[in-house]
Amino acid sequence: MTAALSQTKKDPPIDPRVTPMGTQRPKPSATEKPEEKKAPAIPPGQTIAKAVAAHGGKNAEAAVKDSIATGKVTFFNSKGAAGTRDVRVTRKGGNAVERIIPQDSGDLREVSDGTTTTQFLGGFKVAVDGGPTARFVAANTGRSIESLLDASAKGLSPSDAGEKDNARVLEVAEAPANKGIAKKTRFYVDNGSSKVTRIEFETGETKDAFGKAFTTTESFSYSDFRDVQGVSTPFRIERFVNGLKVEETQFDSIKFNNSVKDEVFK
Amino acid sequence: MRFLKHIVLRAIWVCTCLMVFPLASYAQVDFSSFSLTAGGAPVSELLIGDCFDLHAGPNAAGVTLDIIYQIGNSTGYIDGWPTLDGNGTASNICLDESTILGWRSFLYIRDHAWGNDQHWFAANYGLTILPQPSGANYDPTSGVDGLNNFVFHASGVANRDVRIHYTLNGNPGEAVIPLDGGGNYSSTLEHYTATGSYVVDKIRDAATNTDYWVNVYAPFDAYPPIMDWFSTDKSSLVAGGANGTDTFHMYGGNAGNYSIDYAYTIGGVGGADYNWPFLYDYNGRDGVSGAISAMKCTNPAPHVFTAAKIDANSWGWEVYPNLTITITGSGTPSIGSLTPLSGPRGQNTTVTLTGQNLCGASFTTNYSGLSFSNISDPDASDGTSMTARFDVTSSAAAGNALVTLHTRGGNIDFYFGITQSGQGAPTITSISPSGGIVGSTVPVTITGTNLILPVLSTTYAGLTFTNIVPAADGNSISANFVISGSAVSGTATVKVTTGAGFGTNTFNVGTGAFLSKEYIYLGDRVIAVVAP
Repeated sequence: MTAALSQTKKDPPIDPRVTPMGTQRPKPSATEKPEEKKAPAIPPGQTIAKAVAAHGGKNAEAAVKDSIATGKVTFFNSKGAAGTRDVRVTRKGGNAVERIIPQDSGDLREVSDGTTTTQFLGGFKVAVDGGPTARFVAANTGRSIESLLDASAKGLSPSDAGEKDNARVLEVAEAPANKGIAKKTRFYVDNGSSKVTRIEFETGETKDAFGKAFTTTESFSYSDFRDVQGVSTPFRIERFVNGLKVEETQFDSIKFNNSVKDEVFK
Repeated sequence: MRFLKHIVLRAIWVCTCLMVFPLASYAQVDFSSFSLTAGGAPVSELLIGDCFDLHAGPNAAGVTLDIIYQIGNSTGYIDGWPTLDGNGTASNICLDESTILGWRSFLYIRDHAWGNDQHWFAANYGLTILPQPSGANYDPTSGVDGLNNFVFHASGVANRDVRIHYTLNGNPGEAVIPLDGGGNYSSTLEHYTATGSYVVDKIRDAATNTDYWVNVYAPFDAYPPIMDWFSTDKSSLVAGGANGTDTFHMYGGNAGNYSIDYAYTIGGVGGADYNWPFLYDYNGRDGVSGAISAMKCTNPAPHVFTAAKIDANSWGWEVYPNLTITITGSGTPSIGSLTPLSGPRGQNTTVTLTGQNLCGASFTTNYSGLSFSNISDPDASDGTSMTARFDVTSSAAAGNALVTLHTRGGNIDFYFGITQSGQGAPTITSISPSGGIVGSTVPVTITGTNLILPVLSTTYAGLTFTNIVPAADGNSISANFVISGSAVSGTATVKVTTGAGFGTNTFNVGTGAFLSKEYIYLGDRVIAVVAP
């Protein structure tokens, strides 16, 4: 019998000698690379309920009829901060918002009454149809933190989109009519605080420098939460386009229930 | 002695084998199916990081090999490696950084157990170990969308596809890119190429399926596109014209899908506006704003766009269009109402004005003790309403303050009453002259007290008042008394009304014959009236 025949069918021990023709290594076993465990889906209502509680509760939220926030906004370009200006944001009823930023030729006014959105500056006006102003309006009206907290009443049906960046992600697939603003909207509910810390709009698709498809996004990150009349309210809002910061708003005052008139939003 | 021992031991071993396995004594292992595979397929090229399986055929089950190999021009010998499994295979032989690159061949193999008694089998299986990239860099290390090209260079490899792992603004991604003979990947930054900070941090040959990566650091910044022209589609516009349908558009070359900043002069006064308007992409490169209309209060002056740029860029990347749009419109102002009409001294009174063309309003007065603050922007209401605070010092005299409203369409004067605590009703001590003839306009001075923001009235048919000018001190009023040709002779009662009440006095309306009577005096007494 040859030596070969004297071997059993059992795999021989590995000789891990480093040879000029290679080094034999144990075969990676199937258990060495365990399948990545996907976090189990959490019912969106459960995540929203936690967020409602973290932001002050349903009653406190419902008591807010309007708000006036004042502070500073810093704009960023590709070289960094590009100037800081006063800013005043007035909101009412979940559908109306006005932002005023003084400029050299007058106030840049971005205003929406829930139906139409218009920009005013220096005696000129232009209707808004998509673009960054429309997304600012969306983030303060129909796709705001408050709209998520009152999702069922606002007609939102977010789905659980798993975890990302230490947050639970709730996703709204936008209807065709809303696609001028976003294809999808994602709300990030922080795992630790249960507060809504980011709203992200999926705005389209382009390519990166290596020709790979790249989903474009615009997002609003919220921090510096302070208690305002029982509502945990973000005083710092950072705005990003494709991950690059383009704005940072730091409010120094936010007041609720100022009896703001509807005419403000015309 | 040692040689003899070897001979003896060998003889004993052979005899034993012959006794136990008498028919196998000449059946040397058949290595004729020698091959190398990776992923089940024969291989002739492998990469550092790859692994392969060595097959010596089913007859070689359990055999440990001796190998004579050739690498380049050198030959070498591996004694007793590897040991084959029950299928005659040595699995998962891997190439690491210590493996010599280039061509090599498994020249001969034999059963190590047989040693020199096993004939060497000529395997002659060639294998080339290809290099993995050893480094990477960009040239240049930054570029502008829609303008620049760049070259990504991987060291140590050429004419291969490589897989790169990179981050873009911190977000990870992977791509497979082809390298040319110089190890370069050339590409163009298009208008829509995602901008930001790219960092390639790992690279490997795309052909390998292992997790073998070479760590590198190759940063690159892709900057937003640079506007290369700016234009508008109109050179003049009417403020508030045609119910807002008189509009123009701004256009920006290479500026589609960006907001813009621009510098301007308006009537010669310079400034800069930011983040407005947004230019919608219309051809994959260039942008156009929405339809921009000039509101009724838009400054009626030449608007010259002196510089413009994409807002994502800093100044220094602008174009200089020197392009003018002339705005016409904004008519002369008129005041419809002033509420309240007066305010007490020592207090601040918020006054609401309504009217037309109150655009860009400001106020001036020479009245001592009156100033203005908190003036709202009437432009927001197309110049139809505004508020302002009229601040009156406690030392200001009660009276009629002449205030001038300045607007873009001109100026207009009005009176604001300054009252004092306990302000009494007006009195009229005299009207001079005391009468006028039918069909004439008579300049009259009314003298009295507390004549603050006076309103003149009468019930006498045919008598009206124009050009009413109250004196600042509130003690007199000048006005034109207009007596119509149809008025009849008689005595009219003239009433002066203020916020505190009213006072009256009389004014004679007569014919020309009556008015030309001559009076004859004796001393200070009239003794006769003579008609001519």
